Amino acid sequence: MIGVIAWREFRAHGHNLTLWLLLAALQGMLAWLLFAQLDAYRGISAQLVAAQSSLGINDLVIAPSLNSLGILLLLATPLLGMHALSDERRSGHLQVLLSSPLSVTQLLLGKWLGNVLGGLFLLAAGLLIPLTLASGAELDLQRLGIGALGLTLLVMMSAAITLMFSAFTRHAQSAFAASAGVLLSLWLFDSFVPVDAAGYWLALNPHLQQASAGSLSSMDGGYFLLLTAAPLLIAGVGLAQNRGARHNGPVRLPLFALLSLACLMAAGSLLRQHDTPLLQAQSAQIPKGLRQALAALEGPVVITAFAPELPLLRKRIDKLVSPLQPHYRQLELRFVDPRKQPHLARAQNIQADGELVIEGMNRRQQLRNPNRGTLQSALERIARKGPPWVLVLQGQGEARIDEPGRTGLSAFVMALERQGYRVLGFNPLTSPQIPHNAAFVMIPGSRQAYAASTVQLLDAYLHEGGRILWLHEGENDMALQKLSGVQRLPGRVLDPAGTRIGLPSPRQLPVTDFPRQLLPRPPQQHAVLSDTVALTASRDWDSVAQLRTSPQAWNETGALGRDAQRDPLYGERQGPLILGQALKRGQSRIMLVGDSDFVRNDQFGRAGNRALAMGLVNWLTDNQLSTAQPADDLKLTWDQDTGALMAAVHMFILPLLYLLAGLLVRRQRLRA
Amino acid sequence: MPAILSATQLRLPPRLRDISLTLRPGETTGLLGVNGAGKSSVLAALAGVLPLQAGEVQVHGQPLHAQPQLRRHIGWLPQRAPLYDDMSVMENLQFAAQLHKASPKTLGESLEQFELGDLRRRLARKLSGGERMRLGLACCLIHQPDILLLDEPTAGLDPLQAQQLRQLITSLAPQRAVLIASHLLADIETLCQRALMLDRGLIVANEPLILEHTLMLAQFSSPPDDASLLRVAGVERVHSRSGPQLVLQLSADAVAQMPEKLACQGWGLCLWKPLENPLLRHFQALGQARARDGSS
Repeated sequence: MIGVIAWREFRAHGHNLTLWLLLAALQGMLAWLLFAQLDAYRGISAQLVAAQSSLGINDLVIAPSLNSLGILLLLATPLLGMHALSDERRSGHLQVLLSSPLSVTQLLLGKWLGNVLGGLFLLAAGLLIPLTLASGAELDLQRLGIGALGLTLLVMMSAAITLMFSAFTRHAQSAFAASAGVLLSLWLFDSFVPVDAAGYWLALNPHLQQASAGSLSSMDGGYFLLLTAAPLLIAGVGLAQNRGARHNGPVRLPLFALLSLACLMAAGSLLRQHDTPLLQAQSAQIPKGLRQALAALEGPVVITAFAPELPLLRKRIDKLVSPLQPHYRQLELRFVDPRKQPHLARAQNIQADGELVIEGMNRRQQLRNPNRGTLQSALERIARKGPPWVLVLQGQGEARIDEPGRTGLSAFVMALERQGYRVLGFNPLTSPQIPHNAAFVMIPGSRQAYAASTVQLLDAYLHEGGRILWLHEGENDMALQKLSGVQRLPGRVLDPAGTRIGLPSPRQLPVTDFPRQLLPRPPQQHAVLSDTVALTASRDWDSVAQLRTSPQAWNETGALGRDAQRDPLYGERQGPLILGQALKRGQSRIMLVGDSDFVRNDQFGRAGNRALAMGLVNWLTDNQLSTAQPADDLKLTWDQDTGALMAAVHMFILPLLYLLAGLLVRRQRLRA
Repeated sequence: MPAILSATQLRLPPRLRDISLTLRPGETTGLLGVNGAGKSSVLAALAGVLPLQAGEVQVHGQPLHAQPQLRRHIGWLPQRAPLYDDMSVMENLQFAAQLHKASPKTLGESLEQFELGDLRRRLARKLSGGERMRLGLACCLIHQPDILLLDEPTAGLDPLQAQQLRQLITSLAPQRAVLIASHLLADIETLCQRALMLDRGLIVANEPLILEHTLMLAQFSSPPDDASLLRVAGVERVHSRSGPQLVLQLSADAVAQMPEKLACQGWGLCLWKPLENPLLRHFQALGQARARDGSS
């Protein structure tokens, strides 16, 4: 019976032009919002990619669009449902329905379900737009699914509230005004109520944003279900009284409504106290990089937020910081109102509301524009141990640190600088010695043999406890042997294992087995080295860990074609071969890798290369900073024309088609 | 015959004040009252959709309020036949059938019985008043209820449509207990065997109905006794006697020939005219009383 009522309700929506008008309007508006967001994203995407941002399209385009869709549905659902019972009451149908054997519960659930179906129809159309983006970007479907579930719960709640008001009036407009008023008040509630107030859980926006960000807790689910059940219950009692329940019976409607509200508040605070996560998209959890940054902290860390007592601003900061506190118990958030304590703001050089000052481990960082990305960098800078200076040998055929092109190192340099290192070029031919306060020296694949003075300089540096990241390209073997006691095997390594996991050539070597000493939190993806030289074990240094090839690999001394075969007569050795090794002698360390290409701009972002490079730096400097990969969804492959076409389809063509479909259906009905 | 529906002491002031009535199968009862007398409220209360302060409606001896399934026995057609204007005739019927869990087979029969076959695809909003009322009746009878509650069924219909609808209701009546609320005497006279007069939520009269044109006022110069009069074929009852004037109740088919028959008896028939309907007199008296109350 519920199905009969629900189907009648849904069909009535379909025959009515309102649904189609709403569909067209919602499609047009949402498309406009999303493509405007996408346009803004396109404007900053180059910087995001360069900065290896942890926020991508899912965070910056999809999540805000889901929020906008939620707000549109908040208005559309009452427009759909306002007639549900008010029109029935006005036309006299309601009494006919109540005089039938249909129970009030069946009538209400049927009406509610019909309107929920109408709302879901709008929601499905709305979700089509972000889904289209899947053809041009890495969409996080898990997260989108959780967002869609949140919006479904929102539609259920809005439909129930609208139905409640519709049950008590003859005028659909009154039902719309009342329900839209209540829903908008719930949506704006958090703008006026402080986070720690008892009734804060009633605010809709935090629950909606949580779902849009791919996370749903028992509190969120309970919120939507409670605010769905309570209005249905109140409407049910009202209708039951219409049906003939005695006025002087045990239940009086106003009393029952008050009782329901009291129960609602009690249930809400219970839910708040026992909030547990139900669904969480992987990407909605605290990013790995941020967790690693927190893990690297030592001792108390205080974040002071200079924010006046504006609920929205303070809430935004609280939302950014409070999820980190369970991961690092000694992290404290303090609020300072710069208007009440201007001397503190002046002392910290605060220039705008909302700035954060992070203090800990005898360091201080100031964030002008706090977000997850900048907070992670700031925490990493706080947590990084040792001096900040990284000296990169330049001037003897090495890859250049300031080169933004394919072969440059600017991406690696930027990643280091995000962790607070200061990267400088260093020419040993013009400098008498390597400064002692360098965190480490990097040799990024020199293409020529080093001068004797350079080797002496490096030797002296190592003797004084220096640390070197040596990315060897096979042109500087004498220096290598002298400084590290390691020899290069002839030729370049070929590893057929790579082609089996999709690498285009056996010259590209997958590194899948990451030693725990180098990478305590190994990346999920393999790293890729290319045209790598194999190394022998060191005679003079202690080997802490080694990067190795698969057993099928060998060092090919001939042409590096696909048909190359191992020939032992030429000194070609069977794998596993050493591709890199971490060497230690006293305080001195050398991290040696037979390849420098993996840190060059065109390879640094590939698979697990970044994690490998940052892990090697961590080992060299005794740090445990983030090695996490940047977001996977930074790239948008749509060109300008495709974007314009998609925008035209979603903003104009689809709304027009919906309108035409509505007119067609209406015309057909009117002809009958 | 036992009552199918009985209402006792229904109270919801000022609309209903201690209304008690019974409906029996095969009997059509009229509920007569001026506008605002509470006719629709009585019907709504009997259909179980009015929140009463006191009283109880029983269907087949069981309380309607406690057993929603008893609602299957009731077909209620409120005033202006509420139909879904955005649905076709067939869709309205289908919805009513699904609502009452009636067999889909009844759809075809209903279309035929209420002459709606040609209109099955037409939207309800495009139907004429008579067609709407027929569809409304079809919807409320789709589940074959044995109690039929009709509220002003001929209101707004032209005389021809009203006549057709009366015939339709007459054909439905024999198997059912029918209660027709109306302020139109013609409806009540034509369709009902009994009439209840309602005034300000109270039943002020409950009497069997006598057709207006079968009551005649006669005056004789030598008035015969009752036995002589009853021997004349067509005279059913001597209703009252006042000196030389008598009120006679005749069988409907004898009215036309009766003056001739009586003249032949030699009783000196000097006056013969139809008597004013007592129902109408009662109705007029109520109207006058209301007017007096209003002016005072």
